[in-house]
Amino acid sequence: MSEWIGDNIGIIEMAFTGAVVLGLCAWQYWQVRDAGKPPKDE
Amino acid sequence: MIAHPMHLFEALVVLHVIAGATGLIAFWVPIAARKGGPAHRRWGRIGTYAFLAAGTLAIGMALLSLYGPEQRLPVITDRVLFAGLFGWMMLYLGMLTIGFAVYGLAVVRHRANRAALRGPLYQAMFAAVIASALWCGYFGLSIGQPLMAAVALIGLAAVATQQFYVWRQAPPPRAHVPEHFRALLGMGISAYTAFLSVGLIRLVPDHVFNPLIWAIPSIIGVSLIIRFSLGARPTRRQPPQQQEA
Repeated sequence: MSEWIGDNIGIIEMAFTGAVVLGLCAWQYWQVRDAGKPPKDE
Repeated sequence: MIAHPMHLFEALVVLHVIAGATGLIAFWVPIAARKGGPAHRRWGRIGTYAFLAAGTLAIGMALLSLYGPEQRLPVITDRVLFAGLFGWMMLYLGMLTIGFAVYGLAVVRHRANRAALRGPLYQAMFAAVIASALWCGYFGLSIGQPLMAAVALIGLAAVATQQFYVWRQAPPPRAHVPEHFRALLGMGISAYTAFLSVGLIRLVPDHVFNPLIWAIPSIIGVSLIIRFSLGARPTRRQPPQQQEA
């Protein structure tokens, strides 16, 4: 198992990087979208 | 003669754009050309050296943003955020680009002698990337910008896997190949993200926070890396005639 992880560590790193980048973009999307909304009435 | 820091900054920007544009164009030739062939090696070197220059100039601009005169970009009132994004994060991204470029060439140059990558110069470069990433992340969290910490995480993960290859006891044959293109494609992702989000965005400023602009280089780059990685995945069980001496 540890050998498999070692041999595929690059792909694992890329999956992690992709997840972080997509997460960042999703976070940024919600930030900008929420910032453009008018405040809710009480 | 450059006498004023403002002029120095502008000169750095011009040189950075020239070096960056050269790298952005040359970057695609080694991807398209036959791997290991003359065009791959020649244009790969041109692109990598161009990005090395662009990264070094980015560090210079970051230091000027941090320690230069306050009158640069006086419209920016949030000086802490400015120092975070255009100072510490740019410094870290410059270091990361240099680290990717140096490591990407070094794994090929020292493919028969990985011990060379354990030398003080390469290890100092790894340490500089780690230190700049840690500081970028810490600074980002301290000013309420988790984006800076997340970007720092990407660099830390990259250095961790690079160090894993460098210090690993017995890597499979040709393990340097995926290390090579992962580092240099990572360098390209970093450069294209900077180009789209800081350079090209001046033409369409309304899209400065468009997440698609920020995501496109990573989506294309990570897809290419995974595709190449699957194709070049090292196998331990090879016929004797294919194994390295």
